[in-house]
Amino acid sequence: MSSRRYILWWVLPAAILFLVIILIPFITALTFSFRSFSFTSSLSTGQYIGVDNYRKLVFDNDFYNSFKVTFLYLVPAILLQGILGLGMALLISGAVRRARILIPIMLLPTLLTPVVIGLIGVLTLNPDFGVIGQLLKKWGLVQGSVLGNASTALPAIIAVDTYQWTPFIAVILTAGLLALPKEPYEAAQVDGANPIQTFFRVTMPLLWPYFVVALLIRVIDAFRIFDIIWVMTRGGPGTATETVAVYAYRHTFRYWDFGYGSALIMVIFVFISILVEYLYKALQRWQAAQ
Amino acid sequence: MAKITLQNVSKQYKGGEIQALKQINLEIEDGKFFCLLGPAGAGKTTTIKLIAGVEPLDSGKIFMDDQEITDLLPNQRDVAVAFETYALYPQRTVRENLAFPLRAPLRKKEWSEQQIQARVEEVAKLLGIDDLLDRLPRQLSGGQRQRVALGRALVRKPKAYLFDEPIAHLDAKLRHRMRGELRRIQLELGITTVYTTPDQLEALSLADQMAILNEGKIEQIGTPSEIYQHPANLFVARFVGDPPMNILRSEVQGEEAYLFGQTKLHLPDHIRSKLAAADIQRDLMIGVRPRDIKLVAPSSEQALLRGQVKYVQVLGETSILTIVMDSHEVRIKMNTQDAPNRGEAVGLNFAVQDCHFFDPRTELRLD
Repeated sequence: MSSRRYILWWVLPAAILFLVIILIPFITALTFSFRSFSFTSSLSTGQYIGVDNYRKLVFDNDFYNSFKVTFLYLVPAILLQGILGLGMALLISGAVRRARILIPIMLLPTLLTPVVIGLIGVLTLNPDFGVIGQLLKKWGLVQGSVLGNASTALPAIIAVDTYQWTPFIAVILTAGLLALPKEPYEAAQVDGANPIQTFFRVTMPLLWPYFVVALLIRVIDAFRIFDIIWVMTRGGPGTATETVAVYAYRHTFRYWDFGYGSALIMVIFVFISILVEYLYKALQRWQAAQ
Repeated sequence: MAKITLQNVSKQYKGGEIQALKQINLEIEDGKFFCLLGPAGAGKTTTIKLIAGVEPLDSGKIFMDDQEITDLLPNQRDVAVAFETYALYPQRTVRENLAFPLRAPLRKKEWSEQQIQARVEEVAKLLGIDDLLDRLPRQLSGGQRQRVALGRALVRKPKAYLFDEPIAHLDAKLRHRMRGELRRIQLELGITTVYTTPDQLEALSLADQMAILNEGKIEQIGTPSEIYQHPANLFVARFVGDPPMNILRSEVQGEEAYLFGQTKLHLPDHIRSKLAAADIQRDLMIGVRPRDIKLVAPSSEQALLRGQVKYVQVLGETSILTIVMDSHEVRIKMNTQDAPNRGEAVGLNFAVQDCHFFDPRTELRLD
């Protein structure tokens, strides 16, 4: 019997899994995005309306605003997490072996569900009884509630997100640092390089691939950030913290406009795909150019 | 230029699980080409790293000339290292990699930018990598990277060069050329050089002095000819020389040694007195180099041993023959044109003065 006959059986489980978990929901969302769901149409299938949802989306200023908010959150959050994560990783990898038992403890925020993290944020930032909220109010840094203020709500979310995800980046970079070959460091020692030169000539270039992986994961995550924001601000005040995922959720499950919500999700999906592809290439080019 | 001395140097890895070096004593004379020869895992790289100072040692002392350098930082020791694993700066071009040791903060004032460029190009030309100067390490083949690693050591004129298998990854032809080049450079500059290799031929052809390292211990130190002609023990006898020395177990009876219970070999006087001193009653290991065994007709009286040709391995002008007798194999090296065919019966003859005698218990040389 030829082994070719078995191939089908080997790939079948994975293929079914892929079909059920990824492909069917994706195609469903895609077909939904060409339909309108209202109480006059059939709720299960909606009514076919062509590209109307997409046409509407092009002129939807709130949608553009949600992209802007996403980037206002994403860029500082990831820069912050990258820098802090690298710092943490350098400390951990430089620490004596015994100190590494602290790693699981440091990972705790990452292990908690975002909803819990969001609640922690809400509680600590409360101006009346929250640890940090009270201090901010006392020092006059914030008028009233941090989360109730359009100019401080997003920074607060960035801070909470950083609290949750910095350890994640730190762990990836620590793994990278611990796996780096020793010899380039030894060569740098013999050559008489100082610590700063060693960091930029040896550590950073060798660590860069790990950095790229961590950053890309966080960029993709950033477009999906929902739980923390929903718990802390529900996208408010106004639309100050309404990222793309929150915006799509609002349309889908608050306004029950499955069609428009699906169209939003499709556009976000395509956007992330292009962005990640571009970022990946750019980061690689950046390394090559160095 | 400097004399390098290692005094009772020991080094462990993994908290004592691996004893890389055990009480090593070495004296590397000023301006000499010193080879450390040994199989993989013998402690060659560790020795290099300890001299360079990139690994701390557990006990012992290291001196350069008469100054103790045990606790000095690597950059204070003024050595240049070519690492076996290259250890190039991944993000810098070949040119920058080569120039870096000259630009390091420690030596900033010694070299002008013009001198640096000139020196880099000179070394690159010498190593045949002058057309690769603007490439990145990852765009190079293993052999090219290794030459860059070697170049990074050669750009400087330090007190000592430490080369860790610097040409192991080059192809045979280039390796042969580089070997000659390295020796020429070293003679020209007169810089003390420590060079590790697992290749006995390389060590024999390059070294002024050499040490054989095995499992973290030094088996023998000497000039290549001393080591080849008077291997101190069975390990050295087997490790140096290609094909390795034939080691035959013999039984001593009175003034004679019996090989395979049949062949009588008359032992020289000085060996017999050693035998008595070492209290060797019966067993004696006799080593004969493949070159020292001559073929004779099996029926000849001169035939000390008789056997059959099992393999003939032709290496151009010379051939290596594997001869079987009972369950033993003996290898001999001879001119290809005189070599017998496979399966032929042959007799073997060798002179007692070409034999090396070893104590089977201590494995040490007797004379």
